[in-house]
Amino acid sequence: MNSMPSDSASMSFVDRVVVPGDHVLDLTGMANQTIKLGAGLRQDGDAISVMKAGKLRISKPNKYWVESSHKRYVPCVEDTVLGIVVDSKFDNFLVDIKAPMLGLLPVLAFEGGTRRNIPKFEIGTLLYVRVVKANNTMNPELSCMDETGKAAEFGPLKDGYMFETSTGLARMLLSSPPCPILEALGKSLSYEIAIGLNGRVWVNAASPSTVILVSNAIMNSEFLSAAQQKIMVEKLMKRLQ
Amino acid sequence: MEQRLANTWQMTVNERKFIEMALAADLRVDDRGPFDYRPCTITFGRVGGSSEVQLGETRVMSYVTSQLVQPYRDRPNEGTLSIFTEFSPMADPAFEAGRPGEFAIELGRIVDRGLRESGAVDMESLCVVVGKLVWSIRVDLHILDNGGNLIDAANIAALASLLTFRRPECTLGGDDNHELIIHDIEDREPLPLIIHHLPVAVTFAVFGEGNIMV
Repeated sequence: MNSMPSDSASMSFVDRVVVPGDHVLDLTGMANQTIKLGAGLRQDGDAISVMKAGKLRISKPNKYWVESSHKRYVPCVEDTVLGIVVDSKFDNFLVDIKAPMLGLLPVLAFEGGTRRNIPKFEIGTLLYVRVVKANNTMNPELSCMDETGKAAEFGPLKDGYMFETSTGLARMLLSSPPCPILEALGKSLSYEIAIGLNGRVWVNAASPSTVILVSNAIMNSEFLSAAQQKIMVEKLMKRLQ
Repeated sequence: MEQRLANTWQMTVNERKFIEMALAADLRVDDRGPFDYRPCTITFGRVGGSSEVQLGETRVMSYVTSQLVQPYRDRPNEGTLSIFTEFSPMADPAFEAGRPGEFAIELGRIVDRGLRESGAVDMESLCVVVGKLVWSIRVDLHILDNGGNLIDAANIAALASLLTFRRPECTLGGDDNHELIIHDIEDREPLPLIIHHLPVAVTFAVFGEGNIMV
């Protein structure tokens, strides 16, 4: 494995299932190149080895990561997640993001935030936040602003219903082009949705029956293919009428 | 403290408001009607006395064993029944291994009282020698997956395993008719427990100042 030329070694593992311990890339033949490693990969001297079981993905030109689906979330920088406020301290909100540790959201991490206009979140508020710092030894740090300091869509979510899924389903829902289940539901129903990469999904619509239908359809679509998802949505629509 | 907080489940304000609003329209969040049950499957093990119940996402396994013991002083002609619960951490991140928490003990007590106070299991037939030897029946409930309504699922599992449990037959024999022989299951057919009726637990929740029941 290590004796193969580096390019073909990495190509042979991309989009295939890898397990911890696999060496997927040999760095000896690649001097003066920058490679970005995402989740689940680690540099082991002269080779890149896998730490999490999953599929190896590559994003041109040089970003590699391992994609896997879990029910718990491992925080990663620049992920957008849905958090629940658990407590508020003097300078941080403690937010649960389904990670091993609670996330810390600084009270000033809001657009135009100063000590005078700190938002008051009661316990149990659902927030759409961005992960700023993620380290497996410290509590992850969150923010309600994007990189430029604007609020974007971050902040508290009002009304609606939240349910939890696996991280793999959340990633499938966020893929572009739009996921077939969301498109199919959107053709006949109108609803609002916010998806967190930590496996939490928030849905809002005008009537509670629409919300319940959308959330149950999404939960049931995890292991269906695109065609099966469309068929399921058609059956649900017929049942409504 | 933070580690424990990260493991306990927190309900959002949105969920609470939505659930109440949906219930006002007679809708439950998983598309059931207010009085609908989730699909229930009971699987039995090959050996009598073990069963696994799946109620929706909730899974509970139950195992019955028996042992000959001395009876209690105030009930010399009755056997004993005891329920033990184990909340495995694989069922829910909030469950901790080791000592049972408050809810685990409460669940064990509810199942125990249901079986004991209704007189479902016949205790007098478990007596072998009055005042000296009786059968002690032990039911172990293992929670494998917590998807809600553990009490109902655990109760069904306990009933199912008690119904299929077989205890070895024992007779008094030997030289002076005082020696106890416990017959092997190959020699004599093992005996079932005498169950008079089945107490089934049904859990209700009341919302909206007592107006809505689920």
